[in-house]
Amino acid sequence: MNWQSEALCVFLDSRAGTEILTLQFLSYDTPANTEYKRALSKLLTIAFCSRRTVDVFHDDNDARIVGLDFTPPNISPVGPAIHNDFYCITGSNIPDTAEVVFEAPPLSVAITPDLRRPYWVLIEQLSATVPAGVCEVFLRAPGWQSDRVSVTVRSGSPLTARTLYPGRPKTEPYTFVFAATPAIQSPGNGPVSADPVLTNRTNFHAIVRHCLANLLTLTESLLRTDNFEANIRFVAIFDTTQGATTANALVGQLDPNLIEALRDRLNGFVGRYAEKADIVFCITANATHRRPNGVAHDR
Amino acid sequence: MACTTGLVQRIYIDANAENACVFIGPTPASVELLFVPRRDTGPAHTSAFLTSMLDALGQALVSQHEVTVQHPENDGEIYSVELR
Repeated sequence: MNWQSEALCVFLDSRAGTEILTLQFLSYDTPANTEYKRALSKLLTIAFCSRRTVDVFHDDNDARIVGLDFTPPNISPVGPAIHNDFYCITGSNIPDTAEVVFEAPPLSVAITPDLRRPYWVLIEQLSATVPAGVCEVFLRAPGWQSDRVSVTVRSGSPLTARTLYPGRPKTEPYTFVFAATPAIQSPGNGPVSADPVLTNRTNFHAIVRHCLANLLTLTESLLRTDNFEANIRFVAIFDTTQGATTANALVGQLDPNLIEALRDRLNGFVGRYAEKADIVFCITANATHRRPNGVAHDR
Repeated sequence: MACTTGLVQRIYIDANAENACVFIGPTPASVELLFVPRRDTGPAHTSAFLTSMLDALGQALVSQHEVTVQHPENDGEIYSVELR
């Protein structure tokens, strides 16, 4: 891309070779036209900087750009790629033997997902063997390969709230949240203490993966019926900045060894992360009270 | 008011169209078609604001960031964008 003389020149690699297309800012353009060209210029710049493929529209025998289309690949990474954080990719008809390949020539790292569904794969913790920096990611199985998507892998802190799968694109999709509980309430509304679950992120990731595998891959097929699972939003919250307060005590102990979810606090907690959950899985590492307490309510 | 949350899978913009089309959903094959309008008339700051929203959606598309957009019920015209 090249800006000069109040015009933008775009050098576009296409099947026919390199095409030179232009976007000229003219003195007689209406304000709306100028704004439209500004929008086109920004989107072209975004595509260039992120190495995304675009279709650029122009008239026959005319190099003036009139529009563009971000050609969608057939897979979609969910959120940034961060070492030791969850990493998920969505798609369609993903084979159950698919592996995730990160490629930054000459390096190529293949990772076996920890959970595979036809529309989604999940890596429990992105390995640091994937080099930080720009690379291409794609899915690969015998006889099948997805499109490639350019991503930037980085080290650093994993996200505190991570969308694993966005769910149906509608207002308030049915949402499951896996929340590491910052605090535990002692029996009989007693004092609150810190939950050790927040000291072991790796263990939290393993438990979330275990829960998802139980929900989506075992004999019980309720969530798989009519592909309902593909409409569910899955979010994981692991926030070490949350203190051991009453509002953060999402589970309470019941003697002698039961642990129960304190349901009246769950909406307030997940709401801080802009989530509205239908089901919250409270994940605790309580050492003494380890038997979940089931509660049934009439409607 | 309706909210749609998801990944920006595709953006389509054409001089002959009155809107920039924005495809949002969990997978490339499962999307809602929404749009950012283009105003041929109206104040400059409104056009600049709409361009700014489109810019943010473009950034979200290439960085795989989730967005929440607001639009009227039964209408796909985006009037609010939140990067998540």
